[in-house]
Amino acid sequence: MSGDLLRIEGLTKMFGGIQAAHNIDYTLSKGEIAAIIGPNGAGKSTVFGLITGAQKPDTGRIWFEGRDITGLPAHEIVNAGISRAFQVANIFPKLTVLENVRSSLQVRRGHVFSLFGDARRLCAEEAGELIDRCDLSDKRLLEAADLSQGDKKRLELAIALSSAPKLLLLDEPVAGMSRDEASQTMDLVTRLNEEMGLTILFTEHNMSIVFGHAKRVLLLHRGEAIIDGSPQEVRDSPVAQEIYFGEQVL
Amino acid sequence: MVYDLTSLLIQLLSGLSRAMMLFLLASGLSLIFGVMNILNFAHATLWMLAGYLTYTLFQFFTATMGESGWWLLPSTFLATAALFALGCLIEFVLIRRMYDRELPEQLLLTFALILIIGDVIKMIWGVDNLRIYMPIEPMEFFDSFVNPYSFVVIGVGVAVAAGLWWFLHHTRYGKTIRAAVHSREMVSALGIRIGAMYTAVFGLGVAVAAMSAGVFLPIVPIGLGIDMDLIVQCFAVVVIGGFGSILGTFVASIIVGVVYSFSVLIWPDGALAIIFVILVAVLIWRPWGLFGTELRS
Amino acid sequence: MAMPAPAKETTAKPPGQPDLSLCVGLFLAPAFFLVPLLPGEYPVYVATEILILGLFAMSFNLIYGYMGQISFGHAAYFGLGAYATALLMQYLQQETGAVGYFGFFLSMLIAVPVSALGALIIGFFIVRLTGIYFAMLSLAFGELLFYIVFSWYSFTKGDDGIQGLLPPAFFRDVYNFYYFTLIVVACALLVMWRISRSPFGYTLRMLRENAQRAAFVGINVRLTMLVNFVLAGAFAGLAGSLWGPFQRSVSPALLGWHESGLAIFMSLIGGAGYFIGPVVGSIVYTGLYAYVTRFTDYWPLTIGVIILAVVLFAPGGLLSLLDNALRRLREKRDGDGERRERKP
Ligand SMILES: Nc1ncnc2c1ncn2[C@@H]1O[C@H](COP(=O)(O)OP(=O)(O)OP(=O)(O)O)[C@@H](O)[C@H]1O
Ligand SMILES: [Mg+2]
Repeated sequence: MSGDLLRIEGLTKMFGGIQAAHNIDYTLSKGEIAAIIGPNGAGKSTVFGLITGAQKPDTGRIWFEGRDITGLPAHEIVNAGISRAFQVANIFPKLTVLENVRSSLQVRRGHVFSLFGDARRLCAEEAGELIDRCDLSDKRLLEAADLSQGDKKRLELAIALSSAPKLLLLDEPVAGMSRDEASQTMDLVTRLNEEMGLTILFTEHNMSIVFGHAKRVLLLHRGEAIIDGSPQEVRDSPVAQEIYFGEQVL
Repeated sequence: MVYDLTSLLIQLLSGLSRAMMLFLLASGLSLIFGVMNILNFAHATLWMLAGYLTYTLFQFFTATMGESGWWLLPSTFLATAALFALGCLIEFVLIRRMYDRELPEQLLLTFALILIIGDVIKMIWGVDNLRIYMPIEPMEFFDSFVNPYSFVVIGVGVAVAAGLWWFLHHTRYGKTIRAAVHSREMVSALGIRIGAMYTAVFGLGVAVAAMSAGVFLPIVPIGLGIDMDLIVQCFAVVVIGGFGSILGTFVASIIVGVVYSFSVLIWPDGALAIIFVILVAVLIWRPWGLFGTELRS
Repeated sequence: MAMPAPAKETTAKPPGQPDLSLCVGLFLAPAFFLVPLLPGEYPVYVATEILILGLFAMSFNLIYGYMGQISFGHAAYFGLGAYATALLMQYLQQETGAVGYFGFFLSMLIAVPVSALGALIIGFFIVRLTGIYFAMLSLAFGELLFYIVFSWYSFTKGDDGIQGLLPPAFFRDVYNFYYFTLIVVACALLVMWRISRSPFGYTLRMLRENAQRAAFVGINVRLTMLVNFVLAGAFAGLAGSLWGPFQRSVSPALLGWHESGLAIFMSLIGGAGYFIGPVVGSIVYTGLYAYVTRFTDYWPLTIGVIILAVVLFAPGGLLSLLDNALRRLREKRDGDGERRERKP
């Protein structure tokens, strides 16, 4: 096995008659920042779901740091070092922003079964730092349910980061954000990759964001991996143009 | 005790009539839950109220117009109509406010109804058990005597099951109700007045139960407190069959009714324990019930 | 078919506003301490029952209010505890004539592991389900245990229950037993208070709010649910252990769904979203029961109407009425229309 962080082989998943993922091979090396693109229903979220244990693949294997993680329960995959933000912000609505992040940090630190610790003290400082980094400082005491869409997405990013992942999967991380918010958030994502060496895989429909931030792009179509290359290669590929850019203005 | 064929047959007969009672009660419960997601704990209490009402009507008819078992028919009909109206009223005034509440709150509200209706019954009818005596000759059946009324009961049960099934599968209203079991959004998107439909379904469920109360009055004495035992068994039936499935409820009623009446032979005190063993097993093996569809929750 | 709407706003609100629970608790503690000053033994008797049932309801709310699941057979663990204590006490009584202090405490202590073990075995199956299925399976197990106790005459005396339990001399005194109960319940509540504010307590809230996200944060959802189920079972067992010596008898009804329903009533009447809610619910329910039944035969009607009123007009329980009233007062005083931020 090479030094790949993530290696996927022959990943296939059917939903009823729909081929959501078909025989996908893919690898990610440590420190990469890559994007998966494809039209609606191409199978992007499904691939994330399969990697993170939300669904079990019909066939195919997934290795993470050389360890076969295929079919492991979701929480074990998180603990192995893959964390995820969902396409539709997935947070703890009736907890405050601070509680969302702090509790997630406590889970990572192994405090789940700590019955008598003081939850308000443990990891509070780090939670504050993480919240600052995700631009939510002034909203830390708000209930998560009351946040705007963009803030919810950023909160989920903070939650995902609190699991101290080695690989971060972001499903449309800037969906529902204003243009300014989106570029701020993508800058944060880039910094996470560049400054902290975090390996990141994200999906996104907005091509300028994809080509502006990903160093590698995988194009999916009807569950199949069509082309995997540099943004330039994908942009110039005639197949890609036909499938993708035919439908959507660049 | 010897288990000869005859006694087994008789036991089967009693199991089947018990099954029909459970079915008539549980089908309304299942329908109401399937359509509105409301667990109506007061269902068996409304059934009981219908029983008292039928009893009084029956007494009134026999007293004013002469003794005849046939008075049970109009009495049952009137009580059923009254309970249909009461059911609609309860839905309209109370249940309606509970649709977006949590299960325990629904439980609490319908439990309050159990308490209130139970006490109202106590005020009006007192605490004695009531039953209707029908002058029916026991009938010889495979060398032994059975109450031919059991056949009436079983017939009514099967007829109601068939009628409900036909209503749900072959009428426009029924199809809409079934659609609502699967997707509330779709039905309201079709422009059907969901509120009126909920009221009607609740009334219908209660009416089916009310009718069975009348039918059973000649063989099951009615008294305060039986609603409490029955409701939990009804839940067992509904869960075993699968929420919202009439066929499932029917099959589960037969399983529970028959198993119960045979367990009584073997282990009289523990017969109900066996029902709950079945319930536990089904919930572990197929939480959505024998005929329900798997939900992703 | 859709699942019940996830309307978590009202009841299962995070036991937030811990300050309200704390204030109510600090008010109740001396009140309970002073109950014996009231004339006659009856108030003390009622207060004992309030405490025991309050603890039982609190244990239910560990699963409902914090974890968001309905343990609709929760009386099973209460009853298991009560029977464990009663059976051991009865055995010691038969062996030695009377239960000594050591035997008495032993009989009570045994209830906790017995209930916890029961909760572990049953919970193993229950935590695989959620929502209405969780509720139904716990109801089914509860009824199963009820009928086993009911029909296993040689061991449990069935319907007759176990009569004539006599605690050692000191605890036969109503006042002494009351203070003993007060101490036990207060200690249990302190432990639960710590748990509610511990990382584990917050893990439970995460499960309640969003079990899927919780799994993707790295929580083993089922294991956590099981641990909490066992904890709740243990507290219910502790409450049960007080019941036998208090009533001098136990009966199968302690395991039935009515008794489980009590825990649900009390939690919701008081306010399932508040730590101390179930105790408040117990004060209201048990207190009313004790006094209303003296004046009327129509207790069910009375409590039925009260429950109806609470469900319709005080959806978050009585404490949420108080909470909202206080909040309005505070807002009026501060004079700003700004949204109040919740305390962490
Ligand atoms: N749980 C499921 N059950 C049935 N079908 C599913 C399920 N999840 C996804 N699908 C189907 O699989 C296909 C791939 O879906 P997926 O969500 O992976 O697409 P996507 O690329 O993420 O699309 P989008 O850009 O809209 O998010 C779609 O046709 C979708 O309808
Ligand atoms: Mg997607």
